[in-house]
Amino acid sequence: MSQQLRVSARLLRTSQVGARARRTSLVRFPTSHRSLHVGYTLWQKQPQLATPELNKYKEYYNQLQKAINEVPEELATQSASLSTLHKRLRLPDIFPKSTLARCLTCRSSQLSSELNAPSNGAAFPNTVPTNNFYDNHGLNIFGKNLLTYHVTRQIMAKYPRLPTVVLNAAVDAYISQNVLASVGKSWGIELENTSVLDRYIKEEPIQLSLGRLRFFNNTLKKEDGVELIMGQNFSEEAAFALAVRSVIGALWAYTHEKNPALAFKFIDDHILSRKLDVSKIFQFEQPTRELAVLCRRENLEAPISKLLAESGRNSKAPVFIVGVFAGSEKLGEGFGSSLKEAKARAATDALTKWYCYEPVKGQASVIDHGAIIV
Amino acid sequence: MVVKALKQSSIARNGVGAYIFPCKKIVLQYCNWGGSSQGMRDFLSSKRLDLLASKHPDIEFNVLKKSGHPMVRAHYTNGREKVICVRSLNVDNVENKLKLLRDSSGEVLHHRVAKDYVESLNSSVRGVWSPLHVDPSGRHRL
Amino acid sequence: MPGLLGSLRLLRTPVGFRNITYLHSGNRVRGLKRDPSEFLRLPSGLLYTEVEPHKYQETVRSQLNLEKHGVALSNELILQCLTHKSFAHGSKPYNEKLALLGSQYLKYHASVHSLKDSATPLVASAGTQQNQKPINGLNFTNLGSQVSKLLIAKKTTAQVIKERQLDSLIFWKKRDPLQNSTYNGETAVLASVLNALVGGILITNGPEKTSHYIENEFLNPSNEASLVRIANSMV
Repeated sequence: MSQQLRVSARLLRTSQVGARARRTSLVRFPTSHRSLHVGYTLWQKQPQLATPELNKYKEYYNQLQKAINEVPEELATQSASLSTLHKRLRLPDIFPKSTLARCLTCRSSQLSSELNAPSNGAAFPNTVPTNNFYDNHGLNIFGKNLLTYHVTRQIMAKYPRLPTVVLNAAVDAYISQNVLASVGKSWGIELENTSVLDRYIKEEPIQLSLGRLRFFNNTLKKEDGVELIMGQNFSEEAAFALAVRSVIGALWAYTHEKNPALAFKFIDDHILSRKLDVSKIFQFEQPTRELAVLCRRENLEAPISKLLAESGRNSKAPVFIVGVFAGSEKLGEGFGSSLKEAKARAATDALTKWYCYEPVKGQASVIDHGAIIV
Repeated sequence: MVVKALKQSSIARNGVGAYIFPCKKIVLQYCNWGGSSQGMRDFLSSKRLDLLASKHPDIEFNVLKKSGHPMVRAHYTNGREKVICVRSLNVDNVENKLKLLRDSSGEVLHHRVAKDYVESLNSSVRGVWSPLHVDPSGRHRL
Repeated sequence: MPGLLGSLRLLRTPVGFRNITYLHSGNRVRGLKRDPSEFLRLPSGLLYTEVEPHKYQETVRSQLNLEKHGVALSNELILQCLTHKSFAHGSKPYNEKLALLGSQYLKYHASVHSLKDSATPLVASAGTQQNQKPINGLNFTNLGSQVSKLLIAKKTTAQVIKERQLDSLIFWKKRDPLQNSTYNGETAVLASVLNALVGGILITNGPEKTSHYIENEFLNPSNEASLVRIANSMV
């Protein structure tokens, strides 16, 4: 079996060599076949074409590739958008600009060579394929871990009684992909939208490319109405979120020894400072039943709904105000145009007040017993 | 049958935690030949731009040579841009226009009257008055 | 048969309660209130309401070496950490949210551990992949590799609980007692207990003590029942 394989491998190799030899013979010595095919006269001229412009473009491309593969610090400091972004985020000086450039390189910009071949349809991506893994992949994973932990902890400390589904939704409201993408846009990160050829024609300095967010971004999409559909998510939103997470991850990497709180402070300032109303997340299905179970669990008296005020019972637009009481204690209040609606609103109000309880500052940390299961 | 969650997104409040200066990039466009660019050329050759740039390290300043009237173009973090044509303006006026763009938030300008509505993300601290919550003896009766 | 008689005596409910209300035991009947001493009891015979702190909680403390690292956990919190949501239909304090916080803290610490582990490239496909350039001595290629994923995988954390013999102390209800542990999701329950303990320590003792505890107890290769040891043995 192995012998067979070896033999077939050898055959393959020889056939490849043969093919290569044939091709070279065609290109180099087309005169020998001239009598057979007229078309070869064109081929004959090809190697003689003067291609200084193409060579210059290749040189530019290689320079760009080299710079992105291993961003030199001197080149990164020359990039105006990198240094302004650095200042805008008030990053410490220990955070180098080359790492900031690395945070802007997404792995989706590193596609296999076949994908970049124009024959396969995925033509003219704006990014430069790189083979060195100098990208934000690992930084993104770490930044995500850091963000999830810190945001969950802060929300749990602020609202200790949130049910798990609501807690997860609240965490998502801060660090989901679209939210992080809008954070990235508000930081003034710019996208790389021009193809390498355009950049070469404009004689754009290489450091300008370093300061933009690089990901697989197909120009065919906009100009030709042709869209490339692939399994991976190469959206603009995903790229922005990757960049934001990796900046946070890299910030931790540079400051955790001297000032471990700095990365968490950064998250507090940029992410947790956003506005979220947690009471809007809740959706109760059977609020009265859930309230009854809650009262039983917490050893309160069974909840009783009482009509507090009403107006226009026999009119077209009645209003009822219902309060829900456990013994003499009022748990919640609700309005409605029917008694049933008002009762449900009152129970929802009582439950929301229970779940959205916020301990005061200086109080010992509250450990919740878990949401009510009906 | 426990509580379910509705998807929500948090809303950005620039300046509550970190403050990102809204203006991120200013492009100064001038012509080397036209007379309308005289003020802009004076501005660019003076030290005023250096001073301004050193004062704002978080704004990217680009100088663009292009024929036509001189322009000041500012890009903002909300994705909008604002352009002011500064043709035939003197150095001081060019600088004033530049500062105007720098200090803008990038939002579309609104005409606001004295008794305009208050726009806020927060609900009213005072609450909404309800006729059903006043003392029953004082309620209006038909 | 003294053993059988003894267990029968344990199962019997106090007569005094029956005078007030009927508590049903045995097969489930819709609409009848069940006897708490029946549904609050584990198959092993441990009753939730009669847990003895000097036995139950002290076992947990000694198995987790809490005192050695100066970590204080109250009896109620330990009981909550070892109670799964499935137990008694969630009527007793359960560990779901503590486990959520704990798993995220553990994940963060495990990723830091992988980052600092620059001496050994953990990438399985190291032959084809080039390593990413380290940042400040931290090797970001390690993240997402098999070992770093295994470090906090459910089966690893469940194994820690098993090796520390805490699995018999957990209050949870099987989906079907006749089926095997995979069907009942035992791994997830055991994993949630370890995560909840970490979460509980984090809330009550603060991040400094907790990180010190995790580093020395679970991410210490010299420790027998540690995450690192178990993860390495699973590769």
